[in-house]
Amino acid sequence: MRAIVLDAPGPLESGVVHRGDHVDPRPGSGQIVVRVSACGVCRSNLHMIEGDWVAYGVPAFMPIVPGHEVVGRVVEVGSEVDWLHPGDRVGVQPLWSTCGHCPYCLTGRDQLCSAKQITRETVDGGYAEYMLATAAHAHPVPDAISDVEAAPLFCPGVTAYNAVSKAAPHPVRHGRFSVWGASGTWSSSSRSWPAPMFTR
Amino acid sequence: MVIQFSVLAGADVYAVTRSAQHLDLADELSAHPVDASSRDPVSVLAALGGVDAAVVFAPSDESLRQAVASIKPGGTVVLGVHAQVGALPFADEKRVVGSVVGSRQQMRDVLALAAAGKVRAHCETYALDDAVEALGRLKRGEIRARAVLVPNA
Repeated sequence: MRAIVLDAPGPLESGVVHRGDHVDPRPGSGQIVVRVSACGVCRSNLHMIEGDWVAYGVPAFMPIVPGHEVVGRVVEVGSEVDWLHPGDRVGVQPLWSTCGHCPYCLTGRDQLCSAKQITRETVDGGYAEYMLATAAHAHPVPDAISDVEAAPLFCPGVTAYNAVSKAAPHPVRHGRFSVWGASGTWSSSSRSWPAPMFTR
Repeated sequence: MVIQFSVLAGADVYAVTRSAQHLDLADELSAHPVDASSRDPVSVLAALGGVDAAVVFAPSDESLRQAVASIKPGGTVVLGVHAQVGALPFADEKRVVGSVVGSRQQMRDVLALAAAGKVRAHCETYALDDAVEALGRLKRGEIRARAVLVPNA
């Protein structure tokens, strides 16, 4: 399939990331293949490409496909997946998979799972025609949202929502918040990932 | 989208930035812009009586220090980047808490809010083959909306 691949971290201008042929994904048990309609371009993709996170073990392998805010249609489902079907529209966020049985997973804080896999850091991402995803971590996209507008919800959207939820654990009326810097989580444009989520 | 979700939570939002472009954006999103390049944001926020909470995505120790200084006693700073916390006077019972992406349930909440038209991302599209160009524009600060690749368009 067509994909944008990173051969090895380095300056963007040096051609380390480029169009290439990449292996077609095939779904294992509990997995799906998504035909990618839209994938947001995040500042954190630049951090990985330019080697800012090599010390954290990111990328975990090379060549790797960047991109972690992905919307598309299911084209193939693996065994043990009976709630998603070819044609369903889904999105995938940076949280590609979790163990499902640790105390964090059991209490709905799956982003803290130490066994998590991160889209485009430890598994291939969405700068491609197709992407492999974990069915239990793929989210149906409501009809009211277009593919393109839905994509950023899967990184800056959920990141901003979690942060504001912590700032406002109770409904705030007439309260005041300040928000500091960074376009991405303000509108949708970018800097929501100044550090990798996954460290080994 | 921090501003949009904060407005949804019912807060008056003060958007602190040094970027003229982002000051304009804050204004569009119904936040009060605070220009940190010309005024001390701590003084500006203190003159209001302080803020209840601060959300920091600016990768800057100084911004975090100012955010901690400008919240009211008992207030919360939510941190979404690497930064040095610095002095945290215990007697004011302020909290600094980290935040990273969100849970699967929070993802579903975000999709429901977007489907109801409560929040919206502003995007510009690029063909898959133009991904490097989009990354270059992002690196050079030339993208105001979110760049989105459309591989199968």
